[in-house]
Amino acid sequence: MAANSYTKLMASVLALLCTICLANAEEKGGTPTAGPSPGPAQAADSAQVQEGHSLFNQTCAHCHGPDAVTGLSERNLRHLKARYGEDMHNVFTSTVVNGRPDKGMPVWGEVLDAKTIDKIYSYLETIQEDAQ
Amino acid sequence: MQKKYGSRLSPLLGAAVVALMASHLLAGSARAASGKEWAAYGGDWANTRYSMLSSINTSNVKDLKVAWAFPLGVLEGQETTPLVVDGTMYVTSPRGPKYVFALDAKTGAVKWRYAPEMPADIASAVCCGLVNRGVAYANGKVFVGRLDGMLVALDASNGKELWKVKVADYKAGDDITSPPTLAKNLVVIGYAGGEYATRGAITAFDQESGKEVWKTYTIPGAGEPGNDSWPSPEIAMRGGADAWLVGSYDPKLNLIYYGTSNPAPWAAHARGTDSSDYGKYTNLNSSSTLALDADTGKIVWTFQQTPYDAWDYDGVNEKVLTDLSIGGNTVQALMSADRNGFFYVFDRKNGKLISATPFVNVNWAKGIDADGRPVEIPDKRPRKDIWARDVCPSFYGGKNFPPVSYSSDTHLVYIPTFNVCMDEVGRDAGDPKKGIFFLGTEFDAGKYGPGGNGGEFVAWDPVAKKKVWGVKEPKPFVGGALSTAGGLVFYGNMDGELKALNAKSGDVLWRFQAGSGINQGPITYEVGGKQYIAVASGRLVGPPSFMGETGKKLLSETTEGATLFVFELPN
Repeated sequence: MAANSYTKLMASVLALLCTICLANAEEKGGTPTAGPSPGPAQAADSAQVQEGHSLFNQTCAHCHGPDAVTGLSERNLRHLKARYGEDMHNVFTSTVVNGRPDKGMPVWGEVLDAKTIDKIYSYLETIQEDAQ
Repeated sequence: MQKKYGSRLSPLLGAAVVALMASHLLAGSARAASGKEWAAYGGDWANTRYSMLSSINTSNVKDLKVAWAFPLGVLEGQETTPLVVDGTMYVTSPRGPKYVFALDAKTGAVKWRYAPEMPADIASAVCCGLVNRGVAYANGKVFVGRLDGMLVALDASNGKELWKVKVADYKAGDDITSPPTLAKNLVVIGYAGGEYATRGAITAFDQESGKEVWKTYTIPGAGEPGNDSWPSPEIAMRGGADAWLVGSYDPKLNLIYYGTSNPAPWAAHARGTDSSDYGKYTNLNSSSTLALDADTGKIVWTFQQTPYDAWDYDGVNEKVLTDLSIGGNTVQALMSADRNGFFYVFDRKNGKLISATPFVNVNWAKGIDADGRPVEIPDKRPRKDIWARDVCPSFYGGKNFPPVSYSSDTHLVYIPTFNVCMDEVGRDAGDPKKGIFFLGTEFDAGKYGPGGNGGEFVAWDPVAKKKVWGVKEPKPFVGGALSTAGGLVFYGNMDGELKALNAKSGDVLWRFQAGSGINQGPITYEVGGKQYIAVASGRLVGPPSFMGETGKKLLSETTEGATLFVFELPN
């Protein structure tokens, strides 16, 4: 599945950049802190995120709100991480591909290709919030 | 029908009176003779939402209090207008409707419930809320349009299904959210779908049997006049133009009036020139008013309020029928406060445009010229990859489904308006797919217009073509209007406040906090010699969520609800 090769690619990019980070940190005399997406990795695919942002607003905003801003908690995609943690990507992908017809989520797997879904996901990753 | 007449008069005269009353009923005309009932969605088939009742009036409305409240049972936007006929109230809940209730209109006691089961997937192709706006009643039958695209006739005495027909395919997005229009022996209904790749139609069925009598598509078919207002027949056949709101009926002219939705997809570049010079690609009959012969469904006249729409300015808003005195002449008028921000007055015999005047802040067009064509301001038209910024009104329109009221006392039209503007751009709409949004746009609709208020309740003079007074509302989604011979006009707002105003001056005379947004118009009726006011409370769920951060704030400041309130004066 495209998502798996994307994840592998990201993993190698991260590994490469973390090596660079480590090298810099050793020069400065400290170690890199663990935490959310490192800056250099984000910059590398900001085009993907931008495309994903636009695709999201064209395709998903009519129910999930422009820029995924919504007051309807059940539709709030900014809370995917808070809700699903490490499972976030799996839940996202399977929900988009299979839909949730009983809840009004269309079956997008018949309409959107994997690349489009990935781009939208990479945008969503950048806007996750703490749930209240 | 009052059977006692037959027993008092001689048989011949009695028969004549009965025949007259029967034809009056079958004509489906006007408000119930006594004015004490609320027999149709719009009060009458002219959609005036005006009542002749006056026991509740400007001098005593300050004492209005709750008589009873009833739980509608479903948390979703409450868009229902109840009916009251012969002492029984017929009111619907959303999601199906999940329930049609028949209540004792005096006490709220339940007489029967109809609870159809909806298929599990109805939500996936509904654009804007799993709502229901009410039923229609005639001759002991209640007619219900359903989200699953079915039209049902119920026995009004017990709620049992008499017949059921499939009007349209809900899986394609063609769900039904509004009550049908009744004309003679027919029940006439449209369906939704302007956000999907479908083609609108208005269908008439026989009230007794449910047999289809005629079906009129809103978009002309290949080879038919007007089909070439689309770049190809294929594009036309999934061009939207759905008649999803309510119709009006004039029994003398025998004309049924409906409005049609936006063309599909939202992205205009997919169905024309992508500019204000659209030439012949006006996309007929989208964003239009249609007059149909009630017997045959044949289109008698049409008028397109927004040619080649790019803003989601549906032409569906209710068509109010009344005679107006204009320049010393009596005009058989049809009036409508359109989504595009213009208030239209037509001659309803022939569709001749009498006037079109902005009733809200409008900046996508300088005006409507004499032949009805908007004079567009080109950079306010969203185009492919070119944003149109600060366009007013937004896709919500100057007015949305919440209905107007026309008072034959004050000769004013009371209009719940939006003061919301938007940015919008056209993108690649993709290939049309069944049941999938067919839009191709990005938008930002979170800004209020000049003044900073979200909406305004406007008293509009349709002859002088101007606002007489207005009540600014901080939040948008202002509820529909009711006007009465008691000199009052009622409306509610998104905070759930129901107000009674002096219909001439706009002074607020009474308020009630219902707790959740009031979207529909209230009704009034009389039972057992007492007048009541009734309204459903329950704020909209879907539509505010298109407003981004502003919408999020609106939703967090308000709560969902599902209550019908009925008010009375103290004894």
